[in-house]
Amino acid sequence: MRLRYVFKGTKEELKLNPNVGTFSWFLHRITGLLLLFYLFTHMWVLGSANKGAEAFNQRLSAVQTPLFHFLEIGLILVIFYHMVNGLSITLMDFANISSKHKSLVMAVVLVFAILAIVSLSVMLPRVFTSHASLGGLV
Amino acid sequence: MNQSIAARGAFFWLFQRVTGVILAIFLFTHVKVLHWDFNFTTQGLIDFPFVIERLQGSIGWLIFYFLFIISALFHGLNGLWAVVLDFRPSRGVQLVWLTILWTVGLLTAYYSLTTLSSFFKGGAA
Repeated sequence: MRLRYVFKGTKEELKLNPNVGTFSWFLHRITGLLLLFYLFTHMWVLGSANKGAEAFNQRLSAVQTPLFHFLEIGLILVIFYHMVNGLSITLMDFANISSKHKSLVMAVVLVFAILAIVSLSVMLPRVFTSHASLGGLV
Repeated sequence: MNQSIAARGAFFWLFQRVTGVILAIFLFTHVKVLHWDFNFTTQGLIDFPFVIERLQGSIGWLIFYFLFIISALFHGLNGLWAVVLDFRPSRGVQLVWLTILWTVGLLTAYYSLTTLSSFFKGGAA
């Protein structure tokens, strides 16, 4: 597989068929790949528990800094986009409503927006709390 | 394409949906419990005792995370396989990818289920 053609082909696809479905397909692929990458790093971080409590605490404190807590919000948004869009694909496959796919996209955007607002309002203020006072790394 | 390959493709297509729905439920629960309800600014940062207290001896969470890990690995690697197929690789390249995906999948499943089991038992084996 030649990477240059992969990028070129994907760009062509978006250019030749600039519909909302193409963009949600593209975003679904990108978020899916990001989540797969995250899954492996998540398991690697937690896997330090096999070496004992010390190793686990050390590795876990490295990913509980303000920067990581901020990036975590991005992760949650990626999860929710992929989740809501994936459920809409499943709904389209099984409920035979592909003719209403544009309303479905609107529903995806709406549900995602609600989940994003809840996540941001709950998680964002915590990022700015002093991590030093919690005994963590800064 | 002969019938058995078509049936195999359909099986993976169906399981991508099944694991997707499972993941939507489990991942939402996981996010709600650990990223919304759990507040590190008042409850402290996550450390080993926190995880052990939550997971040690809990059959419920053991089943939850067992299914979660298996579904996530299947869904993620099968999704990557779908991306690979989009580029219409030759049969040889497909075989290389299949070998990589299965090897990575099985090794990661073993690794993460070992982690889960040590949390369940309350410490490293």
